[in-house]
Amino acid sequence: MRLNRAALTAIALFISANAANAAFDLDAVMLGMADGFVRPAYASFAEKAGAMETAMDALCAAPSATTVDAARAAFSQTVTAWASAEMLRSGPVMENNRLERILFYPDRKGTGLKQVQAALAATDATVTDASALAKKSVAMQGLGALEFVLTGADADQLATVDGSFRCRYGLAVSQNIHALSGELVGAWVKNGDVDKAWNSHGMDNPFAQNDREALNLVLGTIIHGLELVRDVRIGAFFDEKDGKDKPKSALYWRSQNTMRSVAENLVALERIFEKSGLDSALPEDEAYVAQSIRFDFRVAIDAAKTLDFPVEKLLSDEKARKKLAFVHAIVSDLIHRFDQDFAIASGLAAGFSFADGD
Amino acid sequence: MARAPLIDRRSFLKAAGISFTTALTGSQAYALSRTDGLYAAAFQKPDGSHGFALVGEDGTVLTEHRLTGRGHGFTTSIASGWSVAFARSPGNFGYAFRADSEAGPVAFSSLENRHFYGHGAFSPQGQILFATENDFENDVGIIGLYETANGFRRIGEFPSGGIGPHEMLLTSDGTGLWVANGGIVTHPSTGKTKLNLDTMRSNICLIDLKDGSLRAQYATPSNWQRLSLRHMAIDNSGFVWIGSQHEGAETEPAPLVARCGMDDGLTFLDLSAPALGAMRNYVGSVAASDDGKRIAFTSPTGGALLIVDAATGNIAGREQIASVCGVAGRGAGFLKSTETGVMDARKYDELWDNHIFKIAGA
Repeated sequence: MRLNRAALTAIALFISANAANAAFDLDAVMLGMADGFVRPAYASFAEKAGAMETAMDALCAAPSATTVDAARAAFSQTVTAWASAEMLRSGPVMENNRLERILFYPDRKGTGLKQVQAALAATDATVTDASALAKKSVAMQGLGALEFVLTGADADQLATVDGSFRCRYGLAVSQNIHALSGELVGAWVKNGDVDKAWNSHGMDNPFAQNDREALNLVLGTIIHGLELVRDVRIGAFFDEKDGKDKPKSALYWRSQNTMRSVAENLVALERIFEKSGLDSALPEDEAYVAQSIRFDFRVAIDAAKTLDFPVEKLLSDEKARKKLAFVHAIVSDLIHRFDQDFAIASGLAAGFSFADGD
Repeated sequence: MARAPLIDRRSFLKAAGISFTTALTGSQAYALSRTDGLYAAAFQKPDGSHGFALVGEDGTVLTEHRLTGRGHGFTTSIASGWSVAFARSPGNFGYAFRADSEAGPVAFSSLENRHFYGHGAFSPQGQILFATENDFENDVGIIGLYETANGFRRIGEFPSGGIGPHEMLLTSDGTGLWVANGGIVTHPSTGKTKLNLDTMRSNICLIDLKDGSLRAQYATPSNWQRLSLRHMAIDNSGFVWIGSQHEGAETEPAPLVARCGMDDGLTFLDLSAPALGAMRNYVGSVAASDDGKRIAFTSPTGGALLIVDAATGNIAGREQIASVCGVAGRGAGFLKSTETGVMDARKYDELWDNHIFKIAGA
């Protein structure tokens, strides 16, 4: 279809009318998200997941303290990579329960843990086959299950032939995670269907059909990510007010990856902010909002990185507790900056526009 | 009949008495004298404080009332004269008010181990208020019962028939409650995080008012396991219309609009791709026109208003309105609000929450 000049002018007016700021460029934001964050994050996750599968394979073939250590190290690297990629809650990761199959958390009632323990106790052979495992409970086939295999009760068996079944289950989990990571990379391949839809215009784009929706998408991703860090990842185990901590509710407490994961979550959210060019939505006279956000991100990330030690130790150290409370407070401040200051300055509704299920 | 009749404006003014009308400014009193309908809507102010407003049918704010937290939905009873504002999930306060006496409002709360989901309904004579609640330690949806005449004291509860009960409406014959169980587990300790998306299953339940028993339960089809049925309105034939939210990928256009009868089960409308696409997998509010012939569905994410003819299921109108969500019947049409402060054609500093409820008028 050819558009005449009048139609093109009308479209241009429509687009600019939707823009929060003249400098805001819908195409650049979407492209920045995909090229600058999504594809690199999934590629890194797939690479680490592949290395983890290789390490698990080596462990099962030659169980020893050395191969156990190598598998645990590969697991930590995979966890770190996922902590970045998991901040995106749009697109293919929301299909086929991929998000939950890679990481099922929080598991408030310990249902997943019980399933994993039961499979190990019963030496259920079906969990050693990755394709069969993929059809089982999501809690049995992801990072949580693999963490228990590698670092949970009786994990020392892995260094000997006594841990053969346990290892083969872990190998199947790692194969499953690697396969899922490959699906995500494949789904987001440049110029593939998802990428084309992501970068298309108007009604053809199921993610964002105009400037306002693109803003909502990126801003919503960041705010939901920050809320996840504050309420689910830190709030799950740290009770600053009453001291009723729950260290064993922390994600990755067994493998001591809790705060490493939190720090990487924050790094990922900062990356989304920068790579999407979201600050272009701010009017010139409110550019200070972006500067405040950058400062908060830097302070929160730096502080979180200094807390990379076991949760029990972290909670029993008064100095560390104060620093954790500081990270928690800065994340809350960041949420306010995005949810209120940034949203209002860029023409969105403060705290109202993120489809939170009400 | 689409729903329990509302007090008309003249009766409202008569009943409202001096306490209400003398509180109005000249322009507010003038607006009230010209309005045929009164509406309630929750808001957030730019300073972050929360409250709700009574609004005339032309969108004029008549009065504002402070709330201790973020409000969400309302319900009203012509028989008892009470209206109630509910806290938004996971809040636990209710705020009952009436304009026909100088008696102050009544604040009440859910139990310590429950929270409100933001919606409720009165029994036909208004003696009992029913509220959708979360028994969050057991992941069970609850209908809490509150006694109007006793300061809205909580007197009991029964199961909602699912997880995450959201909007609830009295059936048109007054014998039951329609409950939209959204199917999503949440817990106050993890904020709004959805804890069971891999296994969630939403349903519409019909609950008998006599004893709280389940008369019917209609679940989403298995191929739309992540579809959350949340908001409803009743048409002039007694059918309930449902708006949904899809928790899956954006690239899967879910059937967002359904109709349900007492014996009919769920029927999803086969909407055109443009109409469905505009809703962005998210319906935030549903309302019937005053005559119950047309049903409006709004999507703040898509900035879309969809109007369906209740008799035929055909699309009767579509409109693009940025951030539109609040909607309520106004004659044959609808009063609308946005999350960015627009109420009808008027722009306010208040950011309107998802719903508008008519509390008085024809």
